[in-house]
Amino acid sequence: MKKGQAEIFGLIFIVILLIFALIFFVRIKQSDDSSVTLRSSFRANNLMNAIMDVNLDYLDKTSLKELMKDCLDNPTKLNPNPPPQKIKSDICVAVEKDLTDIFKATLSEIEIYQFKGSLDTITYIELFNGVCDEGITASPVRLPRNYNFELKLCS
Amino acid sequence: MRRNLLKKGQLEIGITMMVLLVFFILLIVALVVYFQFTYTTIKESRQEILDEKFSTLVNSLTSAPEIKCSVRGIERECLDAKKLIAFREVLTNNGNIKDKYLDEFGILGLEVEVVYPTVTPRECDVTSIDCNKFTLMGYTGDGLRYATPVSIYYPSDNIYRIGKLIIIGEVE
Repeated sequence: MKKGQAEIFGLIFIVILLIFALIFFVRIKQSDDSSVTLRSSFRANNLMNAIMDVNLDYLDKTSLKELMKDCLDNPTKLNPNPPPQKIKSDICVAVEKDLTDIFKATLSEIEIYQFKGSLDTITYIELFNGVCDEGITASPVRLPRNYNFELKLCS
Repeated sequence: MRRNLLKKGQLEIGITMMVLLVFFILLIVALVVYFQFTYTTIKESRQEILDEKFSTLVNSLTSAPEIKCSVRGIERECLDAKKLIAFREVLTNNGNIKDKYLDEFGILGLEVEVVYPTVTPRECDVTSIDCNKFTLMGYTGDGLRYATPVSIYYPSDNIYRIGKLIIIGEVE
C-alpha cells in the first residue's frame, strides 16, 4: 500500500471517529430530567393531599390529620416501667404505624420518602426509609397554631 | 517494454480496486452501525415519550371533571366514589363513549384501587363502600402500569380513603 493511500485510510478512520463522538455528545447533551421532576412533584402533592384527608378505620373514623395534631400536642408520655423516662405517646406510635402503612401501600419499593410533622418548629413526627437529601418536596401543609407537615420523595 | 507497462497498469487497477473495496466495506460497516444506533435511539425516544405521556396523563386524569370531587361547583383535590361508579356504568353501557375515551387518551385500561385503610378486595358498586376496586376500563393483557396516589371521597359516609389511580399503557 502506498503512503498516500495509507494516509487516506487514516483520515477516513479519524472522520468516522469524529462522527461517532459528535453523535454521543449530542445524545448526552439532550438528556433532560425536568419532566421527571414535574411528575414527581405531582405525585408528592397528591400523596400529601391524600394523607391529610384520609379517615382511619378506627377511633370512630377520625382523620389522620387530627390524629397527627393530637400527636404533636402530646408527643410523649411517662414510661410506666422503671426507669421513669419520657417515651413516645400511644397516639404518636399509632400515627407512625399508619403513615408507614400508607407509604408502603402507595409508593414503590425503590422510592424513598421523608415525612416530618412539627409544632412551633420542633419536629415530633419524623419518618423516612432512607437517605433523601435531594428530592421533590410537596407543598408543605401549615395549619393554624403552627402545625407544619412536610413530605419529600426521592428515587 | 509494452508488456511491462500493461502489467504495471493492471497492478495499479488491482490496487485501486482493493482500495475501493476496503473503502466500501468500511462505509457499509459504518452505515450499518450508524443506522442501528439511530434505530435504537428512536426506539428509546418512543418509549420515553410514551412514558412521559402516560405519567403526565395519570396525574392530569385526577383533574377530570367526570371523576373529581366537587361541592356546589367548587372542585376539591379528590376523586368521588359515586362519580367513579357512575362513570364506569356509562362506559360499560356505551361502547362508543368508551372507544372515544380510549382514542382520546390512548390507554389500554383505567382503574382506581383503594389501598388504605385495607378493605375487602372486590369490585365496587352502588350497594356498598366495602370494596377496593373501581375498574373504569378493564384490561387483562400486558401493559405498563402507571399510578399516582389519590384521595377518594365517599359522599354517603363523608369519609376519605387513599387509593391509586392506575392507567395501563402499551408495552414497548
